[in-house]
Formats: sequence, C-alpha cells, structure tokens
Amino acid sequence: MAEVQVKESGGGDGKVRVKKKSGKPDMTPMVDLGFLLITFFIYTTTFSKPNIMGFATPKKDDKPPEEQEQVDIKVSNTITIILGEDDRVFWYQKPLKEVTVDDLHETDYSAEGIRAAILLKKSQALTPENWTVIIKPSDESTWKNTVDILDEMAITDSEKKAVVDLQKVEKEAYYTKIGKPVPTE
Amino acid sequence: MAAVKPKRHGPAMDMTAMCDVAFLLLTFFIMASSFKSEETVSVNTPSSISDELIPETDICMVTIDQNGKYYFGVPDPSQRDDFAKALSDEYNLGLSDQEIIKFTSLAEVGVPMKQLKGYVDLNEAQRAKVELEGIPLDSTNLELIDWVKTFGATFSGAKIAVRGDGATPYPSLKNLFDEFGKADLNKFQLITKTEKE
Repeated sequence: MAEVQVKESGGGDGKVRVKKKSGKPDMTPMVDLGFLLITFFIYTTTFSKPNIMGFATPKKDDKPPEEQEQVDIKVSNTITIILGEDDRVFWYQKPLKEVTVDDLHETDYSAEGIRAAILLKKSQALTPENWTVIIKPSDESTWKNTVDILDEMAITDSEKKAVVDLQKVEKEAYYTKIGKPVPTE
Repeated sequence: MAAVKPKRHGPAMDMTAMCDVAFLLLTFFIMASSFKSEETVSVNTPSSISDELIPETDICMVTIDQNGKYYFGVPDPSQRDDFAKALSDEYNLGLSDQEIIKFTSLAEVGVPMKQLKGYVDLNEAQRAKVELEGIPLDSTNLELIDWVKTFGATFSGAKIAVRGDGATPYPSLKNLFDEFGKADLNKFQLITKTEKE
C-alpha cells in the first residue's frame, strides 16, 4: 500500500482502535497494472521489423553463355565460390576452362572458413579495385547459403560480386568432388 | 481541558498521478503500434548483418516458401485497396468494393488471379483450410510478374522485396531472378533477420 504505516506510540491503554478508512481508493494496483501492460506492449512491438539487403541481378542476355561477352578479369583478382549440398562450400581460383576436382577447396561458412579464404585472396589480388567474387550456387544449395555468402561479401567489403550458374566444367568438378554423378540436363 | 490530540497519519503517497502517467504511456503505445496481420505462410528468413530496415510503403513482397511456391503481398495495408482495384481493372477480375475491402485484410496472397475472387470471399476459418497452390511463375505462365508490374504501375518507385525461407532450394530463387530479369526487373531487396552475434 502507498501508505507508510506508523506505529502508534503511547496510548497503550489496551483499547482496540478501529482503523479509519480514508475515502480515497488505493491506486497502487492500478499503477501496477498500467506498467505491466506497458511492459507487455513494448516487448511485443520491438521485434517485428525485418531488415533488407539490396541485391541486383545482371541484365538478362539470352545468348548461350559461350557467346556472351566476357568481361576480362584476371584470375588473380577473382575468387569463385561454389555453394554445394548440405551446407558445403567450395572455392577455387583458376581460369574457368581449367577447373578440375583438385582445384576445389572445401571449407565452411564460418569466419575461419570462407571469410578467411576471401580475405586472403583479396589481399593477394593484383589490382584490388577489380576484386570480384563469383558466387555459383548449385541446384542442391539453399537460399540460406546464398544469403550467407552475400552477407560475407558485405563483411569482407567485396563490392563486385556476381551470382551466376555453374557451367559444365565446374559441374563436372563439383559433382566429382562430392562423389555424385553429374546430372544430365 | 485536555488538548485535542491531532490524529497522526502516515505519509500517504498519492498514486493518482502515477496512474495517469502509466495509462497515458499505455495509450500511446497501443496507438503507435500496428498489429501484424495474420501470416498466410510462415517463412523463416536467413539472417544477415544488414541493418537497413524495410521501407514502410511503396514496396511489394514476393515470398517463397520451402516448397518453392510463390506468394505476393503488400506490406503496407493502406496501399492494398488501390492495388486490388488496379489488379481487378487490369485483368477483369470483377472484384466488388466489398471484396476489395476484404482483400485489404490479407497480408499475402497465394492463389492465381483467376481464383482470387473466390478466395477473398472465404472467411478466415475457410481460408486456413484452403490448399494454396501459389502464384504461378514458370515458362508457361508468368503471372507473378503481372502482379509485380501492376504494383509498380500503381505506385511509382515501388521496390520489390524477396522473402525466401532459408531452406528453400536455390533453383526456385534462380527461377524467380531469371524470369524477373527477363522482364527487366533487376533490383531486389532481400528480406533477412538481424544476425545475433
């Protein structure tokens, strides 16, 4: 109660006094209730807004990949990341046509894994302003994998990135690496 | 004559003002918060370090669930009626004013346009039972693009948000980006959760 009880001193003549009720209602429980509700509302309204990550896809080119204009980027300025099945991830740094099974390095989505690889290769790039990351999600990878890698791009400050499809050579290397037959188109 | 003893009161705190403050704040919070409309489909988005929040208006949302079905939604409830009107006029869906009002209560739509009228007429309990087939987006029927383009035509500067379940296989996203790319829609906002490090 909001009243401080004061012990009656003296007057101990054995008479039982009837405590006089004041005419005011005690507002304390009301305040408690009010604040309880406020707390509830604050808690329920904070975690409702998701956040967004910008993402742009390249303009569509309907020609087959072999005929499309290739921007010539030196291999040392790029890293290619293949997103595999079951949250597995592989990277290589080779010209596309020469990729074999042995070039794929398996790593994981942790900070010591793919992030370290990206940062290492980025620091070794000849022309850092051309540093490009090529992300190639396989058909078995999930959306989470792609978002995780895009997130790594933000963390490692890799402005230039492209999400593209696996090509034939890479597919062969990748499926051999995971020990599965190459799916026929 | 014995002196009249003044009655001793304990110091009583007046709680009325406190109560006023509490309820004033409470009222403010109730007024300021907007309730989330019922989600048609539950999607567990991946997390990222991005701290940019989704804009309140002029954004439409394409949702992809685990099975690769596509849904279309308008996050801002105040834009839903204009959008429904535009869609109805554009594709002769014949939505009545009553149905447009009902449409505004839907956070997401997972039925093709042809079935929209019937779907809107259902009540909540019936809607929960409906097996949603999703909005088609394949080589034979690119209806989802029509939805997005209608939204873009209704509200200038509209953005496209993509909300995918983390477990969605990549090909259904690839299909979305490919088909949208062909329709010259190249910019997306990917919806993510905040990463808790």
